[in-house]
Amino acid sequence: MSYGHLGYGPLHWQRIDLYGPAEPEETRATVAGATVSAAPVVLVHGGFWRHDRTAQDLEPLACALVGRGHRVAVVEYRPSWDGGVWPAAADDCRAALRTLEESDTSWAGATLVGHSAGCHLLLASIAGTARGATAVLLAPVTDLAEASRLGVGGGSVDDFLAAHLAVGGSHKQATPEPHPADLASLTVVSAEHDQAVPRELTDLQLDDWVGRGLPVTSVQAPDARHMHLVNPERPACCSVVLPLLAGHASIVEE
Amino acid sequence: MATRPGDDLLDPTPAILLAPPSDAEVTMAEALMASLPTVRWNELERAAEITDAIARRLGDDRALLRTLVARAIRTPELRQKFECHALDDKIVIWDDQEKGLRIRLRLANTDQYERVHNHRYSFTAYILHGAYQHTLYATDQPLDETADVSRFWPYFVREEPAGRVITLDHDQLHTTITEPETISLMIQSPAQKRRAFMIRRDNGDVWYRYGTADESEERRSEVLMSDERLHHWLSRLEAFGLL
Repeated sequence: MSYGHLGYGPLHWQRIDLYGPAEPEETRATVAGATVSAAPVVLVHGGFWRHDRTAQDLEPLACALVGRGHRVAVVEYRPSWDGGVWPAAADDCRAALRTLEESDTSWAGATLVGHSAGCHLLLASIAGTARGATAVLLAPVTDLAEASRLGVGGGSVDDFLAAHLAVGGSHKQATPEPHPADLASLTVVSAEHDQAVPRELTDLQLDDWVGRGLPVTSVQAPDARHMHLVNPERPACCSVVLPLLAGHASIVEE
Repeated sequence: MATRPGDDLLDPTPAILLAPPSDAEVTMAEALMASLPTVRWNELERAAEITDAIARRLGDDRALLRTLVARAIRTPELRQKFECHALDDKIVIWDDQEKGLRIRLRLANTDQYERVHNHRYSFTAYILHGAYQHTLYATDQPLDETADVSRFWPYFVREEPAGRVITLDHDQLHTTITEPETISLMIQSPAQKRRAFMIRRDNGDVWYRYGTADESEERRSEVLMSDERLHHWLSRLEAFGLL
């Protein structure tokens, strides 16, 4: 396995942790005359914008994906208490994606995966780009008005939006509104027993995305809690999330 | 009270008391502190990563640190946790046990002696001023009154200068001989055990340090920092440019 880091700004938070197979060509297979490889994966961690979780927490998932032939980039970004209040953390995420693609164009075809509040930053980075992204949202928290109303993250939404709200901004303005052109596919994975994200929020978000005409697929991981979706030692991750990401293969050459 | 470097230069009334932060500054500081994450002290690598960042965020923002100290002085439940001990004093500036965040300034006295000890809690220390001579120890014996001081073996020695952040597990035995008036920003976990072990290297005396809940009223009165001592430290912190 290979490791590396890619900076996208001057701060220690503004980095991308890179993981890859030692010999990526071994993971390729020929299908109907074309060479197919596991699509690269970009992960954006959650932690309610305050870093209850960090990029390092996704290392086990990154390693599991590498074991299945993916190259993986895990995006770190500023927490709300260290310069990351809205929209700075989303700006970081957007800059990370841009830097990644400038470093190697193959990242432009990556499957973009967010977990929890990381889905908000990911979706904010995608909205309005018309990039036709393949996105997978794990236990997403993206509708900030509803998340705040429901007390998701124990007040973290309003901490994240404090400066924005103080100058008259609204939760709705900070809620990403993707268009159909932004997403080739949007897969939403929820955990059946998610203790951090209530089902009501997931359903409201799904209804909104379907209403916008987004290509949504919804999957529920049985007997799973919030962090199980990104823990490869848990059935929800190894039986639901990893196979789902393996299904996003990309044809790389004729 | 022992004379300490700079005592003759003391301002009897520190500026932080003459011109305390505004209510708006305190409110902003409280909002920032409320947005700090929960620290998972049971995963020390993760705790080290996040508390390193928190310590630098607070320690490098002198206006914020000043506001937090001023707030602590006027918050009775924090003020009563300001303590004086033989080797160092402490000013508690934030206490959120649910998030694993008790944050304080460690203020080293002039008098120092070497005592091998562990802690009731794991912690991260950001050295703001001065330096530690830091030694880690191993032993092969129970940590109680029978402990033989000759069987504590140093296996790691280095100087920890200002600007360094260290994180230590509560079970790690160590000594920190500090330069006089070494100041550290400490972030400590909730208590992991009832008492911490201490043994003095020069004579083998063993004693324990307990938490507040296990201390008598008499002991609490003994260690409570006086206003005079607090003013001394505030003046020194201002002189060092830390507040």
